[in-house]
Parts: sequence; structure tokens; C-alpha cells
Amino acid sequence: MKAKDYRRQVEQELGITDATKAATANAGEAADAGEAAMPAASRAEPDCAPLVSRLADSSVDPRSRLMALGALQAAAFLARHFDVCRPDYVAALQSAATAEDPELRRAALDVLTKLKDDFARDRLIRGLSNADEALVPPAVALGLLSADDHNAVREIARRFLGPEFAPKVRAQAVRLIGRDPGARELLTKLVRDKDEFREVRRAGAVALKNLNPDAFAAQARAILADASDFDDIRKTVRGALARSGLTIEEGPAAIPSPVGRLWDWLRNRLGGRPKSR
Amino acid sequence: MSGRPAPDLPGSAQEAATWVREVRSGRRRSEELIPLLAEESPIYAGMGSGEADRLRGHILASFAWSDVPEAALPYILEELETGRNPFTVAAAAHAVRAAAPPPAEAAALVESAIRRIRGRNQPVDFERLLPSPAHAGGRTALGELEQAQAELQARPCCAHIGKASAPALPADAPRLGEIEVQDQDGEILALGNLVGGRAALLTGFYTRCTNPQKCSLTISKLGRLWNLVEAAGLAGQVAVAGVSYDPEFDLPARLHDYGAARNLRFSANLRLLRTTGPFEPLRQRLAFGVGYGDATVNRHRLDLILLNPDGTLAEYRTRRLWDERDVFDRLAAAAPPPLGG
Repeated sequence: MKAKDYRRQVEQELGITDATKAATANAGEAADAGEAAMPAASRAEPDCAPLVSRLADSSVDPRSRLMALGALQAAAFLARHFDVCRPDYVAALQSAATAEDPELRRAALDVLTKLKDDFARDRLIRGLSNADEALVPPAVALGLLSADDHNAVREIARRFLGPEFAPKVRAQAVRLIGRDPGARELLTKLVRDKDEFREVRRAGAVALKNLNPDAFAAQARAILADASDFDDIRKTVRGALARSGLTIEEGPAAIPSPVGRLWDWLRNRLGGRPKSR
Repeated sequence: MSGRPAPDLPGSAQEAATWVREVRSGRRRSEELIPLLAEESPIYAGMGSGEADRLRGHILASFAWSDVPEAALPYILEELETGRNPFTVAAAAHAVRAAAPPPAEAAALVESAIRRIRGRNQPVDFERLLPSPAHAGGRTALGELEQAQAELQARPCCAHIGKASAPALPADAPRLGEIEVQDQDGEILALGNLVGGRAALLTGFYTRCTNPQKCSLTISKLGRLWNLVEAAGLAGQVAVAGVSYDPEFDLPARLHDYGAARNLRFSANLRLLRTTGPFEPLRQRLAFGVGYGDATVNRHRLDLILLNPDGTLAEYRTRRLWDERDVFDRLAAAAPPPLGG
């Protein structure tokens, strides 16, 4: 479907007519020209209320609420028309964020964190500190919070680095911690630790590259020169170096011997943490 | 990176919230909240930007419960002019309605805030510090701004306030010589060698700033200012530099890319800088208004520092947007005559 047709479909769902668009466009142009924005009451309003109500209503089937959320997300792209709906949409999202259905909760929190919503951030952080209050699993909460460098969650994230947590949780924690320039040593250690889960090492490599490209390049070259390191890790750092436009100097040791290749293959098959797990 | 709290000031968000409650219930004067609006106040230390903005908005809104001291107006106008967080901007609009008389620029700034916040409108609640679920049909950020606009249009104007609330610099502020910095090309130099003997302009910024009205615009303006300097033949007598608030993250390559993307034509006297050591000594000497979360800056104001060729302070502009032509005139007036001229 063409973008134009999709927009038209969303507008129809919201009951936005050509007259509505003309009215809201005039309001926006007036404001852009420096004349005061029109009072809300005098603006033509799209009919988003039924969708917002459906999203907020805890007695409605979660599938239906998710569909309403999808339609409202699409409508939110029609920024000027959607303005009058937005506060109630946010309130409905906050209601959905605490719904019983986990998929709905996650979808609502995903949208709210993109909007930098205070309520969502507060609930995600509380959930990481107290599992009884968690609205989503730790990996999801850490992932949502990592979208904003300006969230202060370093100390909470550190708690999820321990070996008792699953690699995907630890990888998300590494992404969060990796925004702090003080984390360089920790990231370097993770990247070079062949006993570490590869998912965590890769997250460490990406975080180190974002934080300090030179420090990453030094580690990447060392990994490339080490034929005993894992194929996929070496592939990851080789690609990252190339994308950074950095020279790749793989020494003779980087060409694995048949024994080295067999060892590499065995360790890859064994899941990346052969010594400890 | 924040200093110790003064003995009689709150040192935490909880203590600040207590002060806010006391102001709102008339047990404390509203003037006492002014020191809590300093970005480097320990009440914001370690917070994320969202939490810091929320606490700040909670404090700003409190002026509507009592009265608006004149000293609060620069903070309120700053938020209306460059604020991005709908809650904090709405809190400033809530407060400016209570100003008697309102500042002359308030109506225009509320109008610009409406344009900025439109498209990001959200429910707001000034009663509680901690966020709670909103209710449909409640108070909204845009609603607050529109109400402020309507009231300002209906009320007599205006109080005139100064352009800037200039901070007091420590006595040794101009002595920058021993502070080591690195520029966008990796060159290490003493800051005093760059600014000494020239009329100098220093401003703070950081590349992770998400407010286009602040750091991004500031660095773009440095580029336009430098064009004026070169056109006037003053490139040898003037130094212009942006200093990163986030020096551990803002490595030379990042500084270079950030400046180049904003049309900075770097030269010996136009540079973006980072301190090679801790930032705090420079922050204290230049009284930069910046606070930190646990990974980066959580909030900062606009700072523009003009130094005379002998290193003394010529002018300190803060919080408000500045015009590059106006600043150029000030720099040109302070510049020494060209050698042999």
C-alpha cells in the first residue's frame, strides 16, 4: 500500500474529513505565523476518542486494546490532527501499561518510553529494583531504558551483570552501563573474556565502539590477531572496524590452522563458554 | 560533580520536596526556592534528565502557589524560551501567570513554547513530585500554555528584566592558563594560551545534548559568529571556543564531527575543546551551570563568557538565547588592535 493510501485509511478510521484537515491546518498556520494558537475548543477534532477509550478500558479484550493501540500509533504520525487526542492517548497508554496482559503492557511501555514518559520510566526503574512491581521482564525493562542516554540507571543495571542472570539480561545491562565513559575498563574486560557468553561480549563490543572507538579498535585488532577466538566474535569486530573506516591488520596468527579451526568449531558448537559452562 | 550543599539548603530531592510543600502551604518564602534552580545543586545530582526536569518543574510551578520573586523570572523565561520537556515548560507557564506584572517578553515566549510543545502535548500534574497515572480530560501541557497566553494578553504589561542573571565568578576565574584542554584535532594546549592576549568567547556544550535549542544551536551560532570575525579581519585578535561539559565522552573525533556538521570552519582560534583531566575545576572557575546524572549531563543552562585580552571578564550571559551579531559587536569592541596596526 502506498504511504498516501495508508494515510487516507488512517484518517478515515479516525473520522478526519477534508474540512477537519483544513481547520487544523489553518490553526497551525496561524500559530506558525506568530498569531496565537487557537483555543483547543475551537479546533476541529478528529474522532480518536473511541480508540482511546478502547485502549484505556480494562474490561475490553487485550487483542482489541492492542489493535486500538496500533491504530492510534499510526494516527500519531498525523501530528497536527492528533494533537487534541495526545494527552488522553498518553493517559490510555499509562492505563494499558499496567494491564494484566503482558503483551499489551509491553507494547504500551514501548510507546511511552519513546515519548520519554515520566510514569513509564518510574515504573520500569521500580520494577528493576523490586520484582513484585515489575511490569515487564528485566531484559525488556533494561532494553527500554537503554533507549535514552539521559536515564540514570547505571547502578541498577550493574545488579543485572551477575552470572545468575541470563545472557540476554546481562547483554541489556551491558548496553546501559556502556553509555557511561567510566565503563571503559569493564567493557574492555568483557570484550576480551573468551569465557564470557558471546551475546554479552558482542554487547560489550558494540558499547565500547559507541563509547570510545579508539579503545574498541585496539581490542578489535587484538581479537583479530588471536586465531583461537570465536569466528562470530571476530566477524563482528572485523565488520565494526570496517564500518568505522579503520585499517584491518590481521597478522599471521589470525589465519587459523586446521587444529585452530577445529577448536573454533567445537567451541562455537558448545555455545561460547566452554571453560565454565 | 556537584558541590556540597550549603548548610541551610536541601541536599537531596526529598528535602527539596519538603521545601516545596512548605512554600505551597505558606510556611516558607518562595524566594528560598531560587537556589534550588541552579543546575549544579546537589538536589539533582545523579538523576536522569527526566527526573531532574520533573523536580525542576515541581519547583517552578510552586511560584504559582505563592508569588513569583523577580529572581525567579530568568529561570521561568529560560524554560519558556528553550525548554523541551512539556512538563517543565508547562510549569513555567503556570508560574508566569502568577507574575505581577508579567515580564515584557513573556507573551512572545509562551507563543514560541506553544509551537515547540505542539506535537508532544501530554497530561501534567503539578500537585505531586512523583509521576502518577494521568486521567483522560485532565490538565495538559498545551492547555497550560494556552491559558497563560490568554491571561497574558488580557493583563497589563510588563516588568522589564535584565537579559541575563550573570553569575558571580570566583576570584581566580580568569586564570585559565594551567587548565589543559584538547581540541577537535587532538592537539593538547593550555586554555590560557588560546584565550590570552585576545578577546575571547567561551561557551559550554556537549554532543549528547538532545535539545536543539541549546548545544546544537549554540555551536551553529559559533560558526556564524566566526564568519563575522573573519569578514572583519579580526581572526588573529579573537578566540572562540566551545568547551564540552562531557569531556570523557566528547573525544576529539566526536568534537570534530559535531562542529563540522554545524558548519564550523575550525582554525587556530576557533576550536571545540575538552578538558583532558576532570571537568570540575573548569566548571567552578567559569561557573558553568551544569548538573550530572550517572552517565552524562542531566541538565545545563546556556552560558556565554566574554573575556578581555588581559583575561578579565568582559561579560557573562546566561540562560537566554543570544544573537551572534550582538555578541560579535561586543567581541570586536574588546579585541586588541592588530599587530603593527
